[in-house]
Amino acid sequence: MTSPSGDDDFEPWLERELRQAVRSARGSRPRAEQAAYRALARPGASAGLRSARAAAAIAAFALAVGGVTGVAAMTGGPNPMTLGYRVVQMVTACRDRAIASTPGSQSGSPNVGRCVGALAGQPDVPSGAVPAGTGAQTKPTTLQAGPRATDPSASPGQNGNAQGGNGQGGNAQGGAPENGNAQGDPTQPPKPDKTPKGRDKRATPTPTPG
Amino acid sequence: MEDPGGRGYRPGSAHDFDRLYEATYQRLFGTLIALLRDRAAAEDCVQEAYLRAYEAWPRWKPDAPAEVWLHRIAINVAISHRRRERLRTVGELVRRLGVPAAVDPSESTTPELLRELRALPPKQSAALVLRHVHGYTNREIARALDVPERTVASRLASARARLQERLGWMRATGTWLPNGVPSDK
Repeated sequence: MTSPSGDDDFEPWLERELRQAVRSARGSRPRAEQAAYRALARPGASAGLRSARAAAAIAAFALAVGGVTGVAAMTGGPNPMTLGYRVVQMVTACRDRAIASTPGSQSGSPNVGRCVGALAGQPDVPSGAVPAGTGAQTKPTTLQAGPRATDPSASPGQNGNAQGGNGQGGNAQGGAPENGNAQGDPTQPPKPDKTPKGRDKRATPTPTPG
Repeated sequence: MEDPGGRGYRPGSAHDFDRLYEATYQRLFGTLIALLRDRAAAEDCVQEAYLRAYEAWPRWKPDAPAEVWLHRIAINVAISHRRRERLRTVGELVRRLGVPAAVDPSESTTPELLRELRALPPKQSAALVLRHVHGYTNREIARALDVPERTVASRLASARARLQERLGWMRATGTWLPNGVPSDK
């Protein structure tokens, strides 16, 4: 049984060796929460796709109307390469907030739409200057000095998802040293940096929960 | 074969799909690691397979074990991956034109058996793994590979013969290193 060359003993030998080889290649027990399909399973994923289309339309509009200015408005810089990534960031952030704020809702689409629209038009705006109608509110504390002063616990339905704290170039321009919140709410767990490798991080500030 | 994780999966149920994922992931991964060149490719393909399966989950018909259905999807993903990989290899060969290829460091640590298995046509190696690792019947393999049972039998026979020839020869010439462990002989 030690040699695979004999006709009779080859099959049991093969079975044993195969099982051993495959078993040794196995990793740890998988967790469904980490599976790729979970991205589809998340409530609001389909709404997210719709929102992404809406955001793409906004981006196309910005390109058509404003050219480089439009791109700069959306990306926080004149680099068109960052546009797509920026749009995805905006939509994801807006959708997450909309869904979190309305537990019963599966999509939060209207809020997402407003939120993305607000972001698209507000490249480098401090939190106090969030567009009218979006209803952004900031904490009446010293934290509101910077662009990341939006209360993360506030309902986006109330604050209109204006993303005052999550705005374009948040880290870059929210750097009021006395702010203390320029890196996001320290009570919140850090959000992983989604900036893809090889991208210009300066041109694509990663939004953090504001 | 058993339906790991228990029966009673309901098509379209996200909770049941999670259960199915956790119950079958390692077996699917075990199959694909035998078909594909490396671990990373196997992981990618398994994830893609579950993604496709999840999209089709509401339409799944529980007339066969869910794992067989998943295997069918995963093997198709792996075959597509191998096709793309082969095209890429041909492209690289053309680009190199005489320049020796860089040695893949993972290749030297891969057990001979896995290497030989990966050299087989993917549907042959899949049939072998499903039979000898997972204990599938010919009927279940036929369902997983979407071929008649007779074809499964013939593929298994061809695959075994080829492996026996290759591995027997290695053993005879002293190049056979079970599981990659160097031998003094």
